[in-house]
Amino acid sequence: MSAVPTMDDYRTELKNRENHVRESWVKAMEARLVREELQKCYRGEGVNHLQNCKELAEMYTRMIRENKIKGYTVIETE
Amino acid sequence: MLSALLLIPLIGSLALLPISEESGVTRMKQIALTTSMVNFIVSIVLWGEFDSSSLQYQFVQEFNTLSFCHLNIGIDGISLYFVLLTTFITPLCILSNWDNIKFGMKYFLIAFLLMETLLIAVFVVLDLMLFYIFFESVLIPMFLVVGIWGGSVTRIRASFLLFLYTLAGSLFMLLSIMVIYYNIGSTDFTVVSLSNMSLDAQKVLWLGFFLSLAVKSPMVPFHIWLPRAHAEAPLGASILLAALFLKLATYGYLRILITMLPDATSYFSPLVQTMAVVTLIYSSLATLRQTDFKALVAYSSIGHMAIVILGLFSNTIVGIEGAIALSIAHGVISPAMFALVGGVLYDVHHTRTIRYYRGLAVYMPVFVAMFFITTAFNMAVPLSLNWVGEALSLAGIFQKSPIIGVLGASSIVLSACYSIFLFNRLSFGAYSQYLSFTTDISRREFMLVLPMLLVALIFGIMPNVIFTDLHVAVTQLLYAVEPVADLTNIEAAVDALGGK
Repeated sequence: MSAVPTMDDYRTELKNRENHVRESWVKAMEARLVREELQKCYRGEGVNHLQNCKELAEMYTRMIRENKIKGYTVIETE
Repeated sequence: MLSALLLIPLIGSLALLPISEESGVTRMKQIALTTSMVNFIVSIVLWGEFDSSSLQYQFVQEFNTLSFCHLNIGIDGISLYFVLLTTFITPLCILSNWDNIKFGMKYFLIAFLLMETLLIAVFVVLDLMLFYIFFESVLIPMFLVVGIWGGSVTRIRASFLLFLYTLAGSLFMLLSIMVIYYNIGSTDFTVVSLSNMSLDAQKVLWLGFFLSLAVKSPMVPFHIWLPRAHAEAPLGASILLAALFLKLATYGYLRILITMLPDATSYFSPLVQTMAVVTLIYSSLATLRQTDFKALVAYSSIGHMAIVILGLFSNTIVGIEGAIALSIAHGVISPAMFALVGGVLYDVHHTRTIRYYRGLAVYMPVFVAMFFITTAFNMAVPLSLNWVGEALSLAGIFQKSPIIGVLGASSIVLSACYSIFLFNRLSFGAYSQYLSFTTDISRREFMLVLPMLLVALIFGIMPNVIFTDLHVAVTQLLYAVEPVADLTNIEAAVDALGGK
């Protein structure tokens, strides 16, 4: 970006912000879909769920940790 | 469509002007009520057409392209619900003073329609200078309404307190806007939010804006004007003060402090949270000692707004969405409380002193039933939007700071204390010897309170209707705090590699 931002710079920045927010929500919704699949798996597998739903459960626990809603602003502190 | 929302109340005001006060009071009231109802219907259409997945401002209309006072209007998920609240509350304000304004009805109605336009303008303008202009201009009709149609001889003092407190606070906002214009060259919301201001500059500007918004919220020690203004204002003005004037501060925090000055917001968050907790506990305890029931409801409003502020400054999507939900809930339940105690009871018995009331359940069972539901919603019981908002706000602040969360949660107990005290004192026991025998709540009063309770109940059961529209708009308010990269370690690593 040049020293004095142009209108195109502003437009690009706004576009980037919108994409960031959209991606953040897509990831959050992915976690929700995995949760629904995990629920189906748990109901379908019954007593075998610990073994057969393991991958989904691990994926879901990773997603709820990583796929949090995040804004585009980053504040740096010392 | 936004222009229509701004113009319809003005057209209604103009239609009232030629009608003479002697002959057409009923016609004036009908015109004012119809106008505000039409505006409410237009806002519902706007809500229906709103696209909740877009980050951009919608329904944008641009009237000039000056960098200073850039007159363009538009809404996003945050402003949408404040606009809806404004159009919902205004007809109820007009209905609330249907019979008890003895003189100057025409100007009273014009003042309310004018305030509707100005309040909607605050929520839809996309420029800081225009925000300030409309933020301040709402004060003038409210100052006149409290001063002219207020309850007792102290109304003049109350109206001056309202005017001077908020005006003095807003001076610092104006100075901050001037500094922004001087440095950035524009006061447009989007341009200001895109500019990179240093932390030091943000801190100074933040304090200027915060002082103004802290008076409006209000936060201790800037709260003195609110209980007096509430107590002395006519019912319609009390409703408008509780429902919308306090929400101007909520909107200001969201739109200016958190969006445009995120670094300073992060820096000052502990200060705001501390002030909010002090406000919450102080106002809740002060509520327990009130003898005037309108002042009691006013102090409870201060307490609820403190929870809203805790949610707003939690930097979590849960907390901020909860705070907005609680703002909306407070915007319907606090007016309902005012309508019941300041309207129904005061109109009949002409005293606001709690000690004169007792045993109303004997002669006013319907009133007591409605008062019970309203009191329960005011102390945030489940199934009400107040509960959803309060629980999410406290959950959000708990994630940010557990200690502040625990202190904030004291409001659950304290609000129950004063709510139950007021309800119990007014409703039960032997009928008070100071009161004359009266009939129950009238049909007009019933229809005044019912819509507010229904809104709190329906959105309390289905809060996702609100949250779906808020998600995208609130996401952009969140900020991530990351430590600055430690360059000394990098230099040491480079040295270890032989300077390569």
